[in-house]
Amino acid sequence: MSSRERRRKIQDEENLLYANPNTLDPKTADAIGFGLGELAMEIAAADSEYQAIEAINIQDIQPNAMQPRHSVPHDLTDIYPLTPDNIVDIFERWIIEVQLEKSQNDFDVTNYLLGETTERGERAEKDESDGSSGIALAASTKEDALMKLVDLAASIRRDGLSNPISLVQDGDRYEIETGERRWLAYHMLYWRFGDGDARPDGSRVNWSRIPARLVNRVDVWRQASENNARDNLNAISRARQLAVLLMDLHGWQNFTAYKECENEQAFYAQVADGARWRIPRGQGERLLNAMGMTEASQLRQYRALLRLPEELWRKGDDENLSEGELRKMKSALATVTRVTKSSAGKRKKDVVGRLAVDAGQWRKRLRKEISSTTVDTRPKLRRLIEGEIRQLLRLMTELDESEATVHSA
Amino acid sequence: MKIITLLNEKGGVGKTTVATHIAAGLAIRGKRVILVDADPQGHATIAFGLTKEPGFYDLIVRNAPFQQVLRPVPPERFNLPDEAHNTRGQLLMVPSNIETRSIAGNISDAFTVLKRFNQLRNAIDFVIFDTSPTPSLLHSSIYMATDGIIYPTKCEAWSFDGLRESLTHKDQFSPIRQQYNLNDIKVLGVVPTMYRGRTLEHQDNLRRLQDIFGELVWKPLPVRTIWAEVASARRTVFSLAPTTTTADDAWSLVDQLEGRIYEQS
Ligand SMILES: Nc1ncnc2c1ncn2[C@@H]1O[C@H](COP(=O)(O)OP(=O)(O)O)[C@@H](O)[C@H]1O
Ligand SMILES: [Mg+2]
Repeated sequence: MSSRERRRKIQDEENLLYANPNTLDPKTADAIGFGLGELAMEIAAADSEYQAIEAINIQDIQPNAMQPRHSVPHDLTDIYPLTPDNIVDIFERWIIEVQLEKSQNDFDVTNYLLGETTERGERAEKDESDGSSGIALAASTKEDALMKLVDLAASIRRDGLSNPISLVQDGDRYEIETGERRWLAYHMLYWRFGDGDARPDGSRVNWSRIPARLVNRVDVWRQASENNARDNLNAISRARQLAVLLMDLHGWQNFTAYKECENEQAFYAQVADGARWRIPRGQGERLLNAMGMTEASQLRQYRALLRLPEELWRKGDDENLSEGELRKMKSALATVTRVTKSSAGKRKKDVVGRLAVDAGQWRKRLRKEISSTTVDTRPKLRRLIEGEIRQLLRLMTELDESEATVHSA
Repeated sequence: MKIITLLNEKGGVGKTTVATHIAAGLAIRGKRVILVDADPQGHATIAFGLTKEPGFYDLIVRNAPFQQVLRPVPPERFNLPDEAHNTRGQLLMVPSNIETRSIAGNISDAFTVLKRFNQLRNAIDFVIFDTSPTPSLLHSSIYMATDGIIYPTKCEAWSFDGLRESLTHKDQFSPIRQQYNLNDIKVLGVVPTMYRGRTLEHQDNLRRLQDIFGELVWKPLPVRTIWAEVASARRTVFSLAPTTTTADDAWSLVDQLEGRIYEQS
C-alpha cells in the first residue's frame, strides 16, 4: 500500500470514528467506554476505596469515645473530658502532676520536643507506624504516659507524619476512627509552636492541621486491626477492644449507648456475661484474628476483666498492668473484701494464710525474673516490684482498717 | 501489575514511540495496560488522538478518580485493522498537558505515584510511563514506583552521555528503595533506535553499546520514514501498516520485553 493510499484509508477511518452518533466531538469520542465492561467496574471499585488525604483543623476533631486505648490518665480525664477545648488544660495539669510526682518544679516538655529523639521516642514512632514494636509494656507513671506522647510529637516534628489519621465526617466536625495519639501530638506541637514552626530541616509547618483520610463510618474491625498491628494495647484496652467487637457481632441495638452509661467501664461491661453474649457461631476465628490471639481461653480471660472492680480497672489502664497481674489483684482484693465483711477470727486467719501463699508465689516469680534480668529489663523489674509492694501495703492497710471497723462495731 | 518506565534524559530518542508500541502490543496480546503520559508535551496523548484534559496532574494533585482520568484508546487506533473489533486486552491512557510540569511542586511525598497506581494492582497488568527528558521531582516519584526501566537511545556517540546520566540517577534510588523494602529497579533493556545499519558509525556505536551493556541491549530499531507517518496518523504501526517490516520491528520490541519479564519471574 502506498503512502497516499494509506492516508486516504486513515481519513475514511477517522470519518467513521467520528461519524458515530455517540461520538459527536473528539472529546466525547475518546471519553466513551469502548466496551470496558468488567474492567470499568474494577476501576470504579478502586476509586471508591481511595480516599484523598486532606489537612483537617485539629480543633474540628473529636476523639471517638469507644476507642479502646486511652492515652490520657484517668485522673486527668475525670477533671477535663477529652475534647479539643480541654486539651491545653489537660497538658498543663499533666505537667503539674508530673512535677509533683518527681518533686521537680522546672519540668518542661518543650526541650524534649525540640531535642533529638530518645530511644523511647523511636519506640513511640514504631508504635504509631510500622507495628514492629515487640517491646513489652512496662508499668507506667504519669510521666511515662506523658513522655510517650512527647516523644511521638518530637518524632512527628522531626520526620513528619507518615501515617495519616482516619476520620469520619459528622456535619462540620470529625470523629477519630484511628489516630487519637497522633492527634494529641499535633495538639501538643500546636500548643508549643503554633502555626509557623520551622522544622529542623528548614521547612515550615502549621500544626493546626493534621493530614487525615476520611472514611464513611467507624469500622471497629479496622480499628482493631490497626491497634493490633502495633501490638501495644495494654490489658484493659484489649478488654475494651474485645467488648466492642462482641457488641458489633451481636448488634449495637442490643446495648445502651456509650453516653448513657454510668461510666466508661459500665459500657464495655454490658458484654461481660459470656453465657448471655456468646461468640456467635463461626465468628470465633475472626474474633481471635482481630484480637491477635490464638486461644479461646484468652478471650475468656480478657472478657473477665470487664468485671474488674472500678479502681482496679483504672489502675490497670493507667499503669499498664497485665491480665495476669490484674487477675491476681482481683482475687486478693476479693479476699480482703470478704475479710472486712466477716467478723469470724478463724476465717480471717485462713484468708491471711491465702494472702501469704499469694505473696509466696509472687516471690517465686520475682526470683525467676531477677535471674533472667539484664540491664535493659532492670527498670521494668524495679517498677514491677514497686508496684507489687505498693499493692501489698494497700491490702495491709485495708486489712488494718477492717479490723478497726470490726473492733469498733 | 508491573510498572515499566521509558527513560532517557535526552529528547527525540524514541521514548514515546517505544512506549506507545509496547503498550499497544501488550494490549493486542490480551493484557490490561495503562499508558501514562508523564511528559508535559503530551506526545503520547497526541499519538493516540486523545484530548489532553483531564490529565496526569488531575490524577495526582487534584486526586481525581481514575474513572475520570483514564481514557480508553479506541482499538481502531492501535490494533490490526481486521481485529480492532475483537481486541482481547485493554489500552487505557492517562493523558498529559502543560499542567504535568507542576506535579513536581505539588506532591507531598515520593510515594504519591506508587500509592495511586497500587489502587489498580489487581485490575491492571501493565502500567507504562512515558517520561519527559527533563529530570524533576516527578521522576523521583516514578523511580519509587517503577519495577523496571527501558532506555531507548540513538546510536550516536553523544547519546550515550544521557544514558549514563539516567543510569546513575537510577542507582541513587537503590538505597531509598531498600529502606522501604522495595525491590531494586530492573534494567529491562537498552533499545538502540533510529539505527542505520549501513553506516560504519552506527555499527561501531552499537558494538560499543553492547560492550558496555552486554545482554541488556535489545535488537536495534532501524530508522524508517514510516514512523513519522504513524505519529501523524494517530495510529500505531500495527494499525497503520501491519504487514510492513516496521510492524515486525515493533512486535520484536514487545517480544523482547515479554522475554525479559518472564526471565525475571
Ligand atoms: N526508528 C525510527 N525511525 C525513524 N523515526 C523515528 C524512529 N523512532 C522514532 N522516530 C521519530 O522520531 C521522533 C522522536 O521520537 P519520540 O518517540 O517522540 O522520541 P522521544 O519521546 O524520546 O522524544 C518522532 O517524530 C518519531 O516519529
Ligand atoms: Mg516523548
